[in-house]
Amino acid sequence: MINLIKYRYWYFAFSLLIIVPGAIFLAAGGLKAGIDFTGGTELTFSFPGTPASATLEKQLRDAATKNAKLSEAEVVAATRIGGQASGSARYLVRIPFIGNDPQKLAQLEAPLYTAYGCGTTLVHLQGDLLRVPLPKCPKVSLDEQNDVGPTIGAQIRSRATYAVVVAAVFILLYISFAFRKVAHPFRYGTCAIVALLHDVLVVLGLFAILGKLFSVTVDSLFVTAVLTVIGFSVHDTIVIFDRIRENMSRRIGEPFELVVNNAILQSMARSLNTSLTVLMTLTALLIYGGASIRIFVLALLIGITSGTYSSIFNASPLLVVWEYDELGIGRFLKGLRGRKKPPAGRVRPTTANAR
Amino acid sequence: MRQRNYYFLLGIILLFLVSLTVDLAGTAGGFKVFGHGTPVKQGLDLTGGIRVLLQARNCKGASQDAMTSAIDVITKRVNAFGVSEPQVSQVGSCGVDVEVPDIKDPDQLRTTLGSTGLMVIYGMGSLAQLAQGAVFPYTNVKTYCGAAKASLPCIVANGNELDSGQIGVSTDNLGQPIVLFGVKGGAVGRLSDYTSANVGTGHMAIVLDGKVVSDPNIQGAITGGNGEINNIGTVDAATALSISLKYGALPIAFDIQASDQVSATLGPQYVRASIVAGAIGLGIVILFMLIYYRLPGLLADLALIVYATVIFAIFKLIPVTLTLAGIAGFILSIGMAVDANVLIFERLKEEIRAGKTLGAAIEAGFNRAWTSIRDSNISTMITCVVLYWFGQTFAAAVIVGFATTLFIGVLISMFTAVVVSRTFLRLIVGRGMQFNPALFGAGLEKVGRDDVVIRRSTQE
Repeated sequence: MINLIKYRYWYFAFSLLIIVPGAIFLAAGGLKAGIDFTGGTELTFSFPGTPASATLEKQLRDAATKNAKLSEAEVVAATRIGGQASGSARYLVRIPFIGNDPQKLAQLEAPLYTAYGCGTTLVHLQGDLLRVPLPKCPKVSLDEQNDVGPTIGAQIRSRATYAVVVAAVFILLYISFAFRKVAHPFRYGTCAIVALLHDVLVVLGLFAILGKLFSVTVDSLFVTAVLTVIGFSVHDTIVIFDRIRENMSRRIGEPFELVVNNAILQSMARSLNTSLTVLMTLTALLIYGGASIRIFVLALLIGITSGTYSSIFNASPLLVVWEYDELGIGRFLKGLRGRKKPPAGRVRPTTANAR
Repeated sequence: MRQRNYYFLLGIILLFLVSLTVDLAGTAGGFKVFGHGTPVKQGLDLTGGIRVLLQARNCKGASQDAMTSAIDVITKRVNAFGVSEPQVSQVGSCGVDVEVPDIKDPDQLRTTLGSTGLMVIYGMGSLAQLAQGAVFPYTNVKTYCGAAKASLPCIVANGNELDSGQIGVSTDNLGQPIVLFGVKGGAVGRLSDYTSANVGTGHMAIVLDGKVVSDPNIQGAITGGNGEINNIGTVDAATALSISLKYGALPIAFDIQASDQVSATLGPQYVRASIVAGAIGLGIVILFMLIYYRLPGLLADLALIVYATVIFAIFKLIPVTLTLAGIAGFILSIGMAVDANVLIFERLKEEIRAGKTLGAAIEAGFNRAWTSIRDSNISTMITCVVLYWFGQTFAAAVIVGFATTLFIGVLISMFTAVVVSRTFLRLIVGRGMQFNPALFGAGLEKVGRDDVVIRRSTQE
């Protein structure tokens, strides 16, 4: 029988190895916030044929700066994106919020339409004078327009943080409640949370790297992925903890380390199989699914893989570390408590499990 | 026990057939269930369309009554565009969420939504003529034309003197689109007097929401209280303008806080892609279960098919708005639905290896696994609830859709694993089949559990 627990510090080291590069990129501001968080407008244009990227990007930038009178810095992006049928190219332009300013949009679009041979006409719309393309311009089309105003952007930012914190708190409470009949239920909750933090850091780190290298942005859908990963990670951890709980009641007198080890080995098949089926469905989605959720699915894939790993190799070994107080934290805390109440002339008997 | 199991089986088959009917209704063959052809409600990212989130410029000053009448006006305006199934709803204390699938010209809609629709006609006399589209420079104009001590500019017709029944789109004698309007009450007389007095010498400014729509010279007297706005440009723009005026001005000024617009061509592509992905995902999972767990795997696959059918029927009946992320949630829950089965079967294998009879092993397996299933799925459901709240507060249909589909998926998967799989498994007990442990995957594999002490009781 393999003793997995024996190598627990190797697992912790491996986890650090995965987290540290991501954390560095995170600290270096690698996580690129999308318009959901910063506010702004994103326009996705489709152009016919396959013109050279550089030309089109320059056209887009010129349209934004010369016609719509935006500054260079305000044109955050004007890049080619994938995900369209062959024979046309899609471009994404990201600028400050113009949701209430149809003139700016019209000014930006007008040179593009004329460049591709579509006529334009002057239109008087609700007191604004706009230059719009003649109907039936089959060439250039505005496929998508997303606007997020500053108020909403701020709301999304704060709610996202609340959501993650609230979810973590509720889960901690629930686990502590569900494991109330075991000794130290609070430990189970905390170790599950630590495993969960590990997974969140892995996903964030990955996207910080992607953001720095490929300008991948994160939006509120990404937050959704993170929350789902949290749910799944805990789901996975609980199954193993449940096994530990069961084994504890049946193997009285066995060293904790052995109990946990057995629990892990027994649940291993189930953990891996479940993750496998979920990863299979997600991979199918990644390859065959719609382009607009590709990032979302990728975040889920990475997060759930990490979640499986952390449940087996982080959460459970951490329980062992805590039980044996290998990091000396318990002793340290006891020492603190001891100092607070000076002994009145005799040694105070310490009780086991006083924490 | 056997009797009860048969009833369960009957119930499951019935459920499956009903769900199948609901699933197919409205799609294949177009037949109806209870008179409803239940189509799947698709979110905007699948149908294409536009969603706009409006927020009152002065949130604190917006009373609920004002909000209600504002939503009424907005709904009428949106409906006037002739779209199918638009949705207008209040978000928070001063927000309005407008979702319009299937709209030809989203820009017109966007501008109409952002427009308060307050139109005032000013007599300008000999003041400088204003350019079209300029901001009307005179603020605090209170005097009506024709009153004593009237100064210029004066008000010929106020916003609430517009006769909405007379608003229409037409063409002038050059074929250019124009918007016709009429005034009522005291404005009719004022219009008549002012135009008569200023033929050829003065002009009148028509101002909409503080911007000059037109400022024409007065060519002749207008006695009937009718007028026209010209120099608009296209028929669509004229239509949009008439819609802004027809239902009255909004009592509150709104700003567009967020909007999403997806062209209708991308949607069906995404749907096709998702169906392919879902089918492939389901296929792989079914294959895997069969190979790894053999007989119980086959039963789990049948349970999975029941699950997928029931879930889809539920989505149709509630109805849940299916977005691309919602479909992802559904596909994700397929993978997770298997989890409960896996838990049960691993337990089953253990019980069989421990030497129990098949019947006892099945019962023990299910009982033992239930606490794990319940506790682990509850944590997923907690995050779904949190996600739902997160998306709801700024009307992000995508996130709400995902949270809903995942939540329902997890809930129903618990049901199918425990009830459906168990019923199927119980069916094969005592069927006279060779009880071959290999059929259950409990063959020669060892997980190294030589030192486990098994208790016969299944209570914790």
